[in-house]
Amino acid sequence: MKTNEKPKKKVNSAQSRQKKQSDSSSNNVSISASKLRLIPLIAGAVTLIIIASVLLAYESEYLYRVQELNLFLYTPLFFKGFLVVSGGMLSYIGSFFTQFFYYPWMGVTMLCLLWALLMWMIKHAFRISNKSAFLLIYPVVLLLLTDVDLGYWIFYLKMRGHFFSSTIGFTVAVAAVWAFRAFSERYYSRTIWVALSLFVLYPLIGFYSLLASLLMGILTWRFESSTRKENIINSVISIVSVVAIPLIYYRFLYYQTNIINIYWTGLPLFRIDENYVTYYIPYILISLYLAILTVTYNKKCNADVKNHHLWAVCQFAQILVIVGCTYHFWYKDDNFRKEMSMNRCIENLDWEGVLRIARDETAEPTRLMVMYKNLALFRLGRCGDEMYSYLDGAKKSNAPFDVHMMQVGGKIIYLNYGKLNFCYRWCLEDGVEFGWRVDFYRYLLKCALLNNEMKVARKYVDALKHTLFYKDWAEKYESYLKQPSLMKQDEEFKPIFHMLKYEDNLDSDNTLVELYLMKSFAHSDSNDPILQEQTLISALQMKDISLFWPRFTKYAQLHPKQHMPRHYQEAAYLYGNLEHKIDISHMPFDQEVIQSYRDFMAFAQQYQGMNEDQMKEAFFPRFGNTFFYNYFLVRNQKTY
Amino acid sequence: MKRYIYIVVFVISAVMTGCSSQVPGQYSDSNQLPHIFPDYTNVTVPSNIAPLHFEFTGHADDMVSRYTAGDKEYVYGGVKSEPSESDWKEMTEVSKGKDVKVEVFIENDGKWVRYKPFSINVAAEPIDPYISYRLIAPSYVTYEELTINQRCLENYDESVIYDNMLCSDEKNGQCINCHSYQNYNPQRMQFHARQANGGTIVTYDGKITKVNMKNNKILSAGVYPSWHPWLKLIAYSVNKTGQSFHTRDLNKIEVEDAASDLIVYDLDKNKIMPLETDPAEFSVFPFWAPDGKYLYYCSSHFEYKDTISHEAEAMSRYKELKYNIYRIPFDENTYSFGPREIVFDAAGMGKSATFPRISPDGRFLMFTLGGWGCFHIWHRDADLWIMDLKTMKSRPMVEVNSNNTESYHSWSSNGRWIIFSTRRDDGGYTRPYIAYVDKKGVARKPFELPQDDPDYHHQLMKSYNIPEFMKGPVTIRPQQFADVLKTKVDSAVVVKNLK
Repeated sequence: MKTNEKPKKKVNSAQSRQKKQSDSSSNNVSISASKLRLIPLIAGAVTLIIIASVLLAYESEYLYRVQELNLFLYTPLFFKGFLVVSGGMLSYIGSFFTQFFYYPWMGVTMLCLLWALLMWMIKHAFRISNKSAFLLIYPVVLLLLTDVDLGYWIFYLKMRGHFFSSTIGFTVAVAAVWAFRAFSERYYSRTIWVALSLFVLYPLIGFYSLLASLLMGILTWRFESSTRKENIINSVISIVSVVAIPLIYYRFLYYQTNIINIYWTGLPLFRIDENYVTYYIPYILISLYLAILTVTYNKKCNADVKNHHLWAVCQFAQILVIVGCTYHFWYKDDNFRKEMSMNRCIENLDWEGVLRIARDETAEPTRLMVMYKNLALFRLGRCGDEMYSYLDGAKKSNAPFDVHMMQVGGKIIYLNYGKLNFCYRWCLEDGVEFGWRVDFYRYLLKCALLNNEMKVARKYVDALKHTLFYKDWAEKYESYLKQPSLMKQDEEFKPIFHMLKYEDNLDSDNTLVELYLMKSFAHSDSNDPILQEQTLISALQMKDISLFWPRFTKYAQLHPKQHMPRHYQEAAYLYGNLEHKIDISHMPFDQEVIQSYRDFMAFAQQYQGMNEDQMKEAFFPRFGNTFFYNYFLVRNQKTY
Repeated sequence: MKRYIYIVVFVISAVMTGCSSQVPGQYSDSNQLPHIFPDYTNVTVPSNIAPLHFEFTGHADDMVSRYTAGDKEYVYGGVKSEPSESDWKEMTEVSKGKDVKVEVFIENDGKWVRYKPFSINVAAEPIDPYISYRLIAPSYVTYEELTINQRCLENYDESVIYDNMLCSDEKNGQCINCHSYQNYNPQRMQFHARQANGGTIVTYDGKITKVNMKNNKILSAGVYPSWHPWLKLIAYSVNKTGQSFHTRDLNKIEVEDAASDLIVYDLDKNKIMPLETDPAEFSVFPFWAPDGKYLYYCSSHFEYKDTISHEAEAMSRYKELKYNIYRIPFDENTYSFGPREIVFDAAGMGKSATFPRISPDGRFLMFTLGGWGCFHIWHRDADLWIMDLKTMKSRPMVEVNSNNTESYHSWSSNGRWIIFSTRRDDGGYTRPYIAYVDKKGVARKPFELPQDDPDYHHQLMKSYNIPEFMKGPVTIRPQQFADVLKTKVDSAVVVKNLK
């Protein structure tokens, strides 16, 4: 050793390497780790604010409908009903939160807060560096998609509380993994936790507990301090627990789950006539995402950003991909939204609102939209003049499965057309099939009141009084229990009382709402002017001349000295000229109707030789709002 | 330190004193009975029944209830009167053959009113400790979460015997129904499963068997069952059943048979013997007499006239289907049956009788009488009737009937209690009621199946179906039933004679 040299200290080799790395990188680093600490907060907050804004701007009606299709009762019996299956607690909590979509901003805020919690949980459980914070957005966006890609599934999904349950399930699963990481290897704490957490969590969160256990079985291999033996034991315990614990619960506790489903409890099942597997993709991706985080846990990487340009480009690229995919998979169907808006207008007795939406329609409507429009016109007494002034159609609902009108809007239609027993029946059938909903309770209550079944109406009133947001609504109807005469002044019930004046018979709708109503009304008769007009409208819709004439005559008798609505005149003039069985020469038709008929016939002569589609296109601009057009050119319309 | 202990003791005492219930010192008397749910005023109960909890249905700021049994008083506070099981047991033990007096005090705006006291009469005879029933939502076509449950009548313990979800999936549902027992023995039981993994489950002293009764020689697999009291024979109806919906009538649904016959099934031989197969006779609801010498059943004479489908014609003429009660003698040595004799001519009254049930002592026949048809749970005019088989005189059981549906009924093993289905609570949901029947066939005011939460039946969105007494619980687990149902078995053989 040279005397003028300082003695060299003996240093740890690892520390030395780290110091060298730090020294070398500090010469080139653009953004240090300390400066990146706000990135997760900013990224998370901005993401959630954008999501919340978009949801509230575009999906408020949708979210409101979702909570109508949900039910949360503050009763012990309601709670106990969830505990009979694994994952029931998840549904219970999910249903609890879903009710807050009554005020969409409230429900969205809660959802975003839960997503914030999930992001925070993932970041700390897997020790994700700040520079990689954008990775935290992926599970949130995937969970968002599980809520906004549903469309008509909201009517058919049996998983209660779906909008929140996946978020809560994944959050608890990550928390369990975090706890696993936090345990030391002493006394086989981690090994015990693998089995114990699954044993405790499986009844509560179902599938998500199995996922957590599997992640633990992988994560164990990432701990530098654990031995190979410990890792093998943990992995084996994980696999054995995942297989055995659900079986044990099935054998000795849960009597309401088919054994083929015991590994999927807590997950929504997208099955009707078949299994719609694409809807499971977000769940698979999130599970893979967590698996990747697990496999890469503890991987050494520099917390600093070396090249801030490249880093920024990567983040931006991710954002583009995320936004693009989110937009692509977000369910966007105009008819779906309009059906919901029209439904809400009907609930609020905003008949002009229904027509406003129908008037805005530029594409082919669904049959449900057409029925809503006809109901609104009927309520406003303008069906006879305007029924054909709106776009007609039978556009199939945008869903990969068959959507039935009964589940989407049939009950409110039956109620308003006075088919109380059928409305009541379908509320019970769908309540049993899909789970009880606020919607069903409300219709059950209204039908019971209108049928003067006050005792069973009391049951539904009391149930709704155990909700958070429908208590006041229920109390309004409770007053009808005490004073049934008040119902005669109820604006919603007044027209329905007219529709109840028909004789009982045995019948069945075969689940086809429109067809049943048409046939039922067209073949019936009444001296009540309002109900009788509906019989005439239905005869018109059925294009049945033999049914039309007696109803037309009766309508004239019940509305003496009143102007005969245009479409009824059109039908009478057309049928009179087609069959010459009824002498129409003395009937005071409007000149416009006569001229319109003549013009139509002359037009038809000009376009002889055209096929039906060509004629429809040619005739629509001038005659699309007439019965003539409907009679000759609207054929074979499907209903459902 | 001592000072802190004194404070703690003082606080605890103050809290306890505040919580304890006391009968109000001042009150006015009302001559009206209290409006309580369930209505337990002046009912007769067995000594081993679970406590009768009730709630006040009117407006009440507070309520106190006082029970007097023997020389002891029990006081409870709160708008729900909920005696503990131990207190209740004391009360009923000391009151056997006598009454428990109940007083209800209601407070509103600081003023107390004592309603007219009522009694709960405690019969000397106990009741079978268990019942079983199907819990079904009152839908008409769809079903999900159908369970056959059992309930201990001595407390509130309820458990599931079988749940249809164990064998159902999204595409293939399973309906379950018609549980029944041989002589109240839970070790000898049968029930049906339909559609997915369908078949009849028969358990006999620990052995579980799946039976496939589908055969093209009979109308259907067995439907309504009745065990012979000791032989390993079960009589069934076989039915072609349809349903249709009322558009306005509050009865809401009509369920009618387009045809029905009777068969007898031999458990040991896995053989079926058709019994009543006249196509012009719709025979249904077999029931063995307790002495095993007669098989009672209902039958309606109906001849098809039109060329439309039988189902459509039966539905269009549904009010013409009137069922009488018949019986046929049975020889247990030869397993042969004699000619039928009419027991009750309901059609002659313009009515229709269903569910003949003989009391265990063979003295009384109880049945449901309605305007027409065989599915009386949907008929609001359906009532319970009783016939004295010594005198053959029958009468409506006005002491138990209501102005709503009374239907399916069963006798307890000692013949002193009946349990029956009724919709008297709200007209929509079926609830089980229990009534005492004395040796002369006179019943006393029935009481609703007690629940821990008296509001339970008001909230429950399911109906009780086929309440049956049992001497003990079924101990086979639902999963064991599911395992057997998932197996495939050959059809039972149809023979002319079981011997």
